[in-house]
Amino acid sequence: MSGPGAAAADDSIRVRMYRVGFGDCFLLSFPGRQHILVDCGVHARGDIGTLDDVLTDVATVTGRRLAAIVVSHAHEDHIAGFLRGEEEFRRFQIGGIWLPWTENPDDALARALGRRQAALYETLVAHFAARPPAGEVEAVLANAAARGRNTRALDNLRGGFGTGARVRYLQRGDRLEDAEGVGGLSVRFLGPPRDEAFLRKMDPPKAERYLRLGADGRPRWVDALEPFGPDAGRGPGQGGPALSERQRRALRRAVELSPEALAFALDQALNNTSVVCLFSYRGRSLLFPGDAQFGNWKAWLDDDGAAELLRGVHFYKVAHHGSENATPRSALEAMTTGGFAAMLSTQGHPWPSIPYGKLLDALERQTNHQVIRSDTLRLPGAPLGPELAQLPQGFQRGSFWIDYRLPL
Amino acid sequence: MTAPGPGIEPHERPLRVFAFDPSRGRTPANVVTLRLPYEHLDPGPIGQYVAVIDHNETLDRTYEPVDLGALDVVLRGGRDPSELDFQFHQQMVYAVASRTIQAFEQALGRPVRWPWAASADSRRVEDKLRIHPHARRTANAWVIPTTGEVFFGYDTSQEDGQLFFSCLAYDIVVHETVHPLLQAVFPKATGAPSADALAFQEGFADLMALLQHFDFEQALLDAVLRTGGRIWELTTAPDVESDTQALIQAERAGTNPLLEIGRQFGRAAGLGGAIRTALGNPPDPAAFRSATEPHERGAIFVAAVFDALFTVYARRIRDLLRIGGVRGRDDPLHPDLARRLASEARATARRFLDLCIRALDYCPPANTGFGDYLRALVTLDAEVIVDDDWGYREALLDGFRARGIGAEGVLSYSEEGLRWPRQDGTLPPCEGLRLSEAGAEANAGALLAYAERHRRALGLLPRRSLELNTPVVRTSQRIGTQGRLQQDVVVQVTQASGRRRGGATLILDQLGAPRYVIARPPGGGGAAPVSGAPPPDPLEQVPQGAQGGPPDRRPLKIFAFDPTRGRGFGNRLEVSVPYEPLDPGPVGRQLAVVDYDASNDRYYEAVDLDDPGILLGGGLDPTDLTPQFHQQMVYGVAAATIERFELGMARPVVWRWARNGRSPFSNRLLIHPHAMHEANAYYDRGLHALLFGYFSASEESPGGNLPGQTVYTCLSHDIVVHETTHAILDSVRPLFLERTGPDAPAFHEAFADIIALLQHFSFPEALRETIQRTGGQIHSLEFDPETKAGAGGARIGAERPTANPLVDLARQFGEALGTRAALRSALGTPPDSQALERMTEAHDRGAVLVAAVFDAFFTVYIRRTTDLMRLARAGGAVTPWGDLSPDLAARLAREATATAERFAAMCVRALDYCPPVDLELGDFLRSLITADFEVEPDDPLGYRAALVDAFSARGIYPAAVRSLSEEALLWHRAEVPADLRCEGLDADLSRPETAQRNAVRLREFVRDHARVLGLSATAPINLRRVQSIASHRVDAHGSVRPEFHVQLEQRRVEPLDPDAPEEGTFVFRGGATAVLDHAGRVRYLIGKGIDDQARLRRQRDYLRETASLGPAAAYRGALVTPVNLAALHRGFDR
Repeated sequence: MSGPGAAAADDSIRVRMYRVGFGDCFLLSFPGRQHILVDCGVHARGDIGTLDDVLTDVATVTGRRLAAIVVSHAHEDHIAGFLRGEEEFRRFQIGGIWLPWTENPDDALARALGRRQAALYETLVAHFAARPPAGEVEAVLANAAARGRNTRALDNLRGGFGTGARVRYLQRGDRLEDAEGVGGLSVRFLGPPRDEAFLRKMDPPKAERYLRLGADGRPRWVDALEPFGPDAGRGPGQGGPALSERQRRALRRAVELSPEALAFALDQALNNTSVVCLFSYRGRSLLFPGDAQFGNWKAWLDDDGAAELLRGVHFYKVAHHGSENATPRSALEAMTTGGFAAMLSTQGHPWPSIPYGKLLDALERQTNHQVIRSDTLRLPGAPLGPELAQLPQGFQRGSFWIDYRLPL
Repeated sequence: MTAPGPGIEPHERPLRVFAFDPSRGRTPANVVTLRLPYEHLDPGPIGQYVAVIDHNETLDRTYEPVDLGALDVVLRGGRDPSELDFQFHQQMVYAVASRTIQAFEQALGRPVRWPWAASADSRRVEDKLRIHPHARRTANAWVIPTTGEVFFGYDTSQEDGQLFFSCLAYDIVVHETVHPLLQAVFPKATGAPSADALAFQEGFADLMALLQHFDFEQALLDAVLRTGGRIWELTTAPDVESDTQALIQAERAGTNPLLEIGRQFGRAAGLGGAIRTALGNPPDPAAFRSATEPHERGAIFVAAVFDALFTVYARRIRDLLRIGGVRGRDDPLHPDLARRLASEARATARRFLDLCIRALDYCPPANTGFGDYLRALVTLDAEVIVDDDWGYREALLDGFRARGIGAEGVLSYSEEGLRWPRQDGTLPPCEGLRLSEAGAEANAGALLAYAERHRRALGLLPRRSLELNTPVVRTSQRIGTQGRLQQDVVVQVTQASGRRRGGATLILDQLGAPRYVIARPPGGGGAAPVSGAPPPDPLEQVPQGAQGGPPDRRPLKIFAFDPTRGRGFGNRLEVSVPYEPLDPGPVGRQLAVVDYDASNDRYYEAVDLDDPGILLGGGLDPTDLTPQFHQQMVYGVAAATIERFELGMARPVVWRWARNGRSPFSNRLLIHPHAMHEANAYYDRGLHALLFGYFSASEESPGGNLPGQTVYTCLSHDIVVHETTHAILDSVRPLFLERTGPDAPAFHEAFADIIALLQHFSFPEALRETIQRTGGQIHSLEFDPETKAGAGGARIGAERPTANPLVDLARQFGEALGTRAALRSALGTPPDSQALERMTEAHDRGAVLVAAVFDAFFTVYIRRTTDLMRLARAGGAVTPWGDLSPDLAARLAREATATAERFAAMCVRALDYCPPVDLELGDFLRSLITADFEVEPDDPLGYRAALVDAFSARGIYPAAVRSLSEEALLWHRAEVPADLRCEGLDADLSRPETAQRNAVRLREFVRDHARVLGLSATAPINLRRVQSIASHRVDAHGSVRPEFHVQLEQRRVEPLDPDAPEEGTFVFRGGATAVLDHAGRVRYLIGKGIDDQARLRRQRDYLRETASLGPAAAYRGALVTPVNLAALHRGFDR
């Protein structure tokens, strides 16, 4: 069910952004019918039911031939399609599958990191079963789903769907020329970094105390450490000073290491493993940063060449669905005003504060209105973004996608 | 008359003089430069204290007075030493007399006032000490102490017929100057002095003259080399040995100039040598009794003191001789050893000089004899140095005893027996004393009334009228508890009975409580203090001294590092903290340890450190098993940290929430040693508390811990110091936790680490061990293994290299968690001047600052010890395999400790010179340099240069300085009109009410002169933390000059984004730290303008960037909050 203009013209690069709901799926088409799929997923809470259609469209447009699949990071909203479409992908011819180094099963560091993150995830899930969190936190955690669907999707990818695809684990500094046989396509990987400072941030602490549901169905603290045994110390009046009731309550509040904060930290850690790709093709540059948040950006933004690199960007996939801390202002301002176009796959559900209004304003300004968000497409039952008065130049709407043609 | 150039007030005037007398030639050992405090001089010279009047009575002729301010004289650094230039003579008597006066002022801690002067700042020549350098042709020098005239004669020498001038003998000038100085100390000691008192005056004058010889570096070194370090020997070795008859001069032995007084004079007078020496005949217990002539008796007294001095010196150099491998007395001295010996001699002599002068205040007001003086010496010494490590007091007692100088009326010739009895508190305090100079008159009235009221208790006779000299406020050199410089009020009450005068010397503390009453009834010869009726039981008369009342210090045991270090390595340490009564907790004046465990919602039983059983053991023994020891340790370490700041800042630490809390312990810092189950510890300003967590060590890589064992952050010395420092810093500089830029949290972290690490260098055992095992290279990150590993690698512990605990921060915590390795990683990487530009994370930036400070610290340490190491290698105290002799290790340890103390003090003081808000790391460098320059203008060991180098090597540059020279880095002096003054500031820092009054004055001043002070007219001004700070330097006249520091803060609410005001706002602050001197003149304005647009822009960018750093921000939108230390320490919640 390919729409008009499905075939890429030889005088442009086409970027097709699918309207998946809350998630990312982009298809890049280069002259000579060469295609690269960047992510394919949707968040369970932001699913608008189009993913199957998307998979079908990808198959149709590409003729089941993909030069590469880029998997920015292992969040459900970026990889759900690789589980749901697993049968479909098996029938593809895939040149390469690119994953962040943090998903490499042969990398001891990656394994250790993953183990700790998984442990934290499990603990948090158990905790929130006993004390359900606010909706936004639950949604954040659901996206990580480290042991469930995401693992299976990752296994599919690591195995190349049995197609013999070459699986690459990438880190900052890697580079591919004529990538996966696409003549003239050069790819630079700006992230994820592998340095110590970065790793430190990837490694959220294990919190010490969590609630569990006991056998009686009532929540209770587990892992509680009684530093001097169960019998040491009791209420006030042990012949020592005591706090006022207000002080006591304040102290108790202060020391509760918030599992909510940990959930957000875990989420951020995964986002920051995003593969950041800079595609260069015949003098055109396209930046796909995945969901990189500040820490990942920071690692390369301070580099000498960063400003020049950003000046040369002609297309920007807005990171992390346009959230507050995913596109550093300095990066956006470094891109040539009016010299690039941008797309963001987003919607205001399940997180109302995404996308971030100020970022959208800045994008409008910086791109000279060459920006579009996926939820301007009206689909039944799907949350609708702001009305688009006029389709900006260079963009085309399909039934559940938006295309941008970057002329060569 | 040449006035100094505009704006440049020199602080010294260097003048050259003969170190001994012209007969020793113009060699470097005999021409010395005295660096006198600068004062304006009229021709004469005529200064504040001294007027040189060069009138020759014999020839009735006046020589032209020298103008030391004349340009040509200044250019040449004063007149050149010359025997025949009378203007040089004038210069010399002025210089030597001034130097002697200065020594008195520094030691007494107050300005000298001539008793014959009408007023303290009189400009009349008659009110000064008038010195006549060429009074008459006579082989003599004499003085009229009561009117303040000193005369020097000249004559032809009986030896060679040449002219000699008594005014060119350094020691004679000192001697004669001391007489009027004694008059100034005992202004009411009129009437007929006893023979003992006369002899004492002579002996004391000689003592002063001789002790000053030891200040002359070259002469001292020379004497050390020529005596093989035995500088007490009267003869010095010849330049070359001679087996037969000495044919050339170099073969002839000389006399030791250090021990001589008036060598040229003596020879000229036909005595064949010096008129007197420091050490005459061998000690003889009968000597003193048989001597009658005052000079003779004086000489025995001098010998007694010098006996003690050289005994102490000999004790102090024993280890150096061993290090240098000196065995026999004829072994030649290594030059480094000679220099070290000379510096020990100088230090010992300085200490004696200081002690000997200060003891005058502990003498009765009239007729002070040798016995009184010995008692005064012993009493004072015990006050100043509680632990008599070198045995100064023993040496003094022995020196006196060996020569038969006794003290009458004492029961035992021992330290206890000789100390004046300390007042036990039965005498009420004298109310209404003021410590500022302005209060002298009121003080006199109050004290006279007080003496009248308590005649009997003060040992004064009834019915005879009392006279009072002007009470003096004396600055003790000691900084007492809470960082307050100790000041005393000293007054002599006298009364006459017949021709004899007597009375009592009263020494009161700054609150008026009498500490000593040293009485001597007129006519009564006995030196026994009279206090009420004589007690029947002699044992009751034994002075209780320091035995009564609460102790000064409380010893407490702690872990030096943390429990993982076990018992080895000096890990069990005793800290000594200022004594305060403690409630169970412990709860003291500033700290309240409340052992509430919020995670388990329970209290642990509190320790009562005042429990006799615990007191007896010196506190509980270290163990990680009981919470009570933990409570003791957090209290001990926190209290020691507070004291370090109080000593450095010279004022008490006052928590930022003091005075405004209503909850229990509202003026205290709460410490919760087991606050929570979390691998974290932090200072929470909202809770006014330090929270320490406990947690299970990692199961996978627990380091030195048992897998999964419980780790208590409160048992890590470093963590406790670190968190306490956060709380103190936040109280001293309340705006430093504002999110003004990446340096704000970085500085807080780094400063806390620096203080914690520097503390390591005060652990004697661990330090010595480290020194031994690193061969003195204490900055090594690792020790060599204790023994070489055999083939196949290390099998036993001794074969494995270990980490150096001194440069390790919070090891157990780090191993259990794997973070916080600031210093280790920072010192482990070579400095990189670009690094800072790339770092935005607080710990990373902080680590750079920590590394910079420690780079400088180790550099200075190496600089201070190079000579020792060189000497030790030459002397065999370093074995080829790098082991150090214990002597050397102990020396190196002392150098390391002293260096660390200086660095800690520098860092603490620098806080007072920081801008009040928006501190950048480069600003801190300027503050460090300025604060240190203010205290120590000279920097011979290059502390400041080392800091500048280390900072610049790491790219920590201050904004807007033109170079990295010291001058460029000093904060600029305030550019304000010269006559701008804040009037009415009270220098008496002893009372809280004056602090409040001062604050009011300062507030008005700032309000009235906001524009001049560089503040913006459009933003409100807020005064934070008005502090009166006793400057650490006692001024040239011995007085403490307090300074006033005010943190001026201005604030304005600014939009985060000027283009989108609806996006939220933040408080933008500016302001300045104003430093005012004691007279209210603005010296520094160290500021951050609120109208600085570039700064505003920078801060906005920073806030916008970091506001989005929190993980939740993506889903919840930005939040601007102050730096959250809990999160900063957790490490992930950025």
